[in-house]
Amino acid sequence: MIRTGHAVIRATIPDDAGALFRLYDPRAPRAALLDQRREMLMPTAKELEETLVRQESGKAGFFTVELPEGEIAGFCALRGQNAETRFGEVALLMLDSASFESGVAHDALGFLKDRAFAREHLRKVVAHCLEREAELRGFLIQEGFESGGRQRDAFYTQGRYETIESLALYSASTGASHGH
Amino acid sequence: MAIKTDTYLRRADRADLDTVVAWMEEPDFQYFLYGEPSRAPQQLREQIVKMLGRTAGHTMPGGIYMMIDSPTAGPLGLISLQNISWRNRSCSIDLYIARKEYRRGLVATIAVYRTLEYCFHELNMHRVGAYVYAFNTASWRVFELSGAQRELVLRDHIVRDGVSHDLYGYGLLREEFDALRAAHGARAESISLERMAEALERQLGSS
Repeated sequence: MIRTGHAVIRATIPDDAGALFRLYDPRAPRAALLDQRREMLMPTAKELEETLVRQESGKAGFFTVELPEGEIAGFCALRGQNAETRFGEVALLMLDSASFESGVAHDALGFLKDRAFAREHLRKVVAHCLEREAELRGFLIQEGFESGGRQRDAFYTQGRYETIESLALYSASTGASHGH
Repeated sequence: MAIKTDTYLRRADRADLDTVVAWMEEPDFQYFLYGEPSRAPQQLREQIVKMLGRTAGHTMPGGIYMMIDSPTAGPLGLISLQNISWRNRSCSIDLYIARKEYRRGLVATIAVYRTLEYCFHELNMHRVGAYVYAFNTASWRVFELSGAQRELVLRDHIVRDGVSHDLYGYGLLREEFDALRAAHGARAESISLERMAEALERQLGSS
């Protein structure tokens, strides 16, 4: 468990399944919850609970972000690490977009950056967002992420297509983003 | 001037397994196609073996593998449709020309053009994408010739021989492909899927 200025970050446990389930809202899709085909996964709360029982979420790189009072504010993850190319993917899944301005998301990202760059010595982390995830995108840009581009019409939902943007943050020590 | 070729596309089947597995062992195959965690060699190999060993009646496959073949030269390469999403009406293309002497010719361009026709007009896709390493110039030029737009540049995304390279993400929408087809209709007519099928029918009829 890590206590930061605005949040408590800990390994996700099966009891968190209810809060996690709230993220899988078909009316508010999130790029981080799309599968490789860019389709929305729609697990039940029971399936999520069973997954969390099976996995040690800390080892899987999946964490719960709590407010100091104990309320769950969201989840964060570092996944898909590639040892050879030394990059990974970060996911910030906040239940309330206000978390992007309150310092909670900043602390969660700081936690992921520390794991990625200091502990795992990755060179960069990538993140994805849909057009509708404007708060997440604004937050990532503010935190130093650079856009790698947008995949047009990559995801179909509620009668229309949306683009998916990929963003990357480079380790300060590599300076890789300035090498081109 | 019309483009002429005797190459054609066909579904890969069990009889192609040895050929495809042999191609996969080639350093070039791994150099040009692997690098993404989701495309680890073992995973892709298992996927291909599973797909080729499957019965043909599967109506909603997640991947389709096609051989680029020629009656005179034999199998030339493999083209696959990956991550097929029937909900998004999208998929991505992987292309491998095994015979090096055909890599810089029109074989790849024609195979991709026909595959795009198949994706948009047979499978009713809305979007076709491709990920290509920046150093694979011949390959990303083929996609640009097909009208695809470079949508993504992921810097330092893969490492080859100790050097990091960018990854390009291409995307082509159906209306863009149709516009390109309309603009170059006369030249493309001779290499269309329809003409290819007619040529194969004639060939089968005469044998």
